[in-house]
Amino acid sequence: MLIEELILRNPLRQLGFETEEILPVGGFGAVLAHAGVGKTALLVQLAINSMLRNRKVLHISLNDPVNKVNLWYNELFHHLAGRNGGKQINSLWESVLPHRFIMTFRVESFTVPKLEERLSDLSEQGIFSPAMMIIDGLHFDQSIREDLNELKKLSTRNGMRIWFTVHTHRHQLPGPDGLPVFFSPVADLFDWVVELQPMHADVHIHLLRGAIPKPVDSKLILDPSAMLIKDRDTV
Amino acid sequence: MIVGAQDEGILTVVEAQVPLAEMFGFSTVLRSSTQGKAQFTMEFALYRQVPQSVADKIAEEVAQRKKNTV
Repeated sequence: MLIEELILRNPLRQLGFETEEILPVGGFGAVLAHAGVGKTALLVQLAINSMLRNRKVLHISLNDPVNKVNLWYNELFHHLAGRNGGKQINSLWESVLPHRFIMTFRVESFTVPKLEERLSDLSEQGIFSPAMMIIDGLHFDQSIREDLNELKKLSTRNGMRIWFTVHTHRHQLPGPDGLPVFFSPVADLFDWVVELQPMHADVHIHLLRGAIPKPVDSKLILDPSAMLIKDRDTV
Repeated sequence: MIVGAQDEGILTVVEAQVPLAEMFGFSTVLRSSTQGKAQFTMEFALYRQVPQSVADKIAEEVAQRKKNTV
């Protein structure tokens, strides 16, 4: 019952999705924003939603240690659940935690073959087989296309979807398609691209690529106090 | 429960939460299964309620002990 309530409060509903996955198997999604705007927070909310639906999430961070990533999940889950849940919320959280595995790499030592090796170890030993993967902190430089192609093959083989954070820079103007110039050459690999834009006290969520069941994207904002997605009308 | 794995160059640090009762003898198991390469440290994390099946077993053992001492 509590799980259902939390799923109803989930950002996916605000985006027009009820129970289905946003991305197809092997699909890529990206969240674009400047530093500190809420890329990780948004993806952690998508991850929590998957965990509540008993779908396993592998969170890969190239920036933060395991403890810090864990804190993101704890904070956002308790914000999402409200502060009144008490013991029931805590036991629910403990029951969904086994659906998450955090893996951290130093950004310079992260390679797709290394990830594939780690992933094979986990799945072959029956420890963890993710349905969704989050890669937070990957550098989208000129050589990234090859890595993304490899990741697409890996995700298709393993029946996963992958979400990326993409760090944009204030001094770089977007191209004619509205996407950052450095991202455009690989944009064709992505099914879904959203951009977070800080405007006054809020963070607005704009859909740049991908389809949603109903046109609600212009009403979505990220509440900076809790880093949760909210409908603009309810804030 | 494994919380996560942290890549540290040639090493990987695996962080997990384990009931203390399960840790007796872990040192030997870890050494023998990794040819002595792995090591571990542990620290208190939190108190958590014992699962019902384990609680029943403990109650049974305590009752048995009491019975034997009488």
